[in-house]
Amino acid sequence: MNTEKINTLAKIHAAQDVIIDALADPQLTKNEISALQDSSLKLRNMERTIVALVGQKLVDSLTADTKDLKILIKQIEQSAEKLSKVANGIKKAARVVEALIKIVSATISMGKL
Amino acid sequence: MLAGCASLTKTQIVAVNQFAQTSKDFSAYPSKIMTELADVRLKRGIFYANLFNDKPSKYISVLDSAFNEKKQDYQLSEKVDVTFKIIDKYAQSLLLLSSDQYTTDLKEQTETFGVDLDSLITLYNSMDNEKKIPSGIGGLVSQIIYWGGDIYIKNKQGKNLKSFIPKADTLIGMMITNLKEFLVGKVYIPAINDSLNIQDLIKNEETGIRESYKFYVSSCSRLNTLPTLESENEYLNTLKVLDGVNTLLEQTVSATDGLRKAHHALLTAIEKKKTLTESIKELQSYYDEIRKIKTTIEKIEKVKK
Repeated sequence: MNTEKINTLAKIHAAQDVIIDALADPQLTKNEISALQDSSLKLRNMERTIVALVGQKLVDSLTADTKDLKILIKQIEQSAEKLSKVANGIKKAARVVEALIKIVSATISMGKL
Repeated sequence: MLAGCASLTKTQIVAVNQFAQTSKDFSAYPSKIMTELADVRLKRGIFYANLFNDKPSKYISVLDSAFNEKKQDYQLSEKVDVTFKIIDKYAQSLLLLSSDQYTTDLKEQTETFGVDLDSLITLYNSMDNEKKIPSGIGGLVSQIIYWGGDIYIKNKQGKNLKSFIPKADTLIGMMITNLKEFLVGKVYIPAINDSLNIQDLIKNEETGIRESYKFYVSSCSRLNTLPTLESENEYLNTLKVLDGVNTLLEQTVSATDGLRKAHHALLTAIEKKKTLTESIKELQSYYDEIRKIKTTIEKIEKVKK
């Protein structure tokens, strides 16, 4: 594989700098300005294409199989749901005890016990 | 028997809960780097469009492109977000499983009826009765019910966490490798025979914003006008944002390593029943990393306001 780095992005920016300097010349004709503008736009589009490609490739590299973790998460959620049911069950039992105590206490206060 | 050897200590469950709390929004950090870069590119597009201020059609066309590119960049960042949402989801599940909500609800419930019972006992004792009932018994009864339920739930929580966390550790490891690859790894682009990474993209925007601003200044010069104060501030603020994005990348890489270490420390603490003080270093340092990221994000947002 050819490992020589081209540094395309750096070269594009260097070319844009040349255009900026050239545009500073007050003697430029309209046509010359237009040609510089068009060249700059082409360079900008090239840069954008490279940046978009890098972004896309980076996202594409995220290929890890997350299926197993998703299954595990589902199991965890189900367990949490079960725990919630247990808590609710105990709450219900506590309410029954509470009701019984109230009945007994009411009976006591009415002097029936 | 309600209590068992599988039960975790309260501090172990709290550690799991804190780890989960710290990790529940983890996916936001890598995608934030991407969206900030997208915002910088849009600003560049706006400055750059001024090069064509003598050609309205081209001027609008450049602005439209900048807008569409931002949309594409955001779509890409959403993909990143979705991929790493798996870490958030896992953390949220742990949060649910290590919640003390079950026992808190129960505690509130039993405390209420304990108070009711005791006030009734006081009422009973105030009556002319031979046999006095010792007060505070209501509290005692409710405590027995509460602790019975609490131990049972804690035992179940402990068992579940002990079963899930080891299974997840390998998978978290996979996600971390993936994330690190995304944050620092280079991708090869055959068309330009070059390999680039996120750091290169940040550098590109640093050069690019200066370049686009120069185009803007150059067009001001051709029109014999001065750059506006607003544009100067916008330019300087964008440089500040890029500084922040650089820091964010560095901190996210650190926090990613921290997440790995903290999860492993959690696993060791749970499997070997180590005390929390033995794994606290990793958890604390991970927590600090996340706090730093949040501070950087706040700074970036402040600059953008």
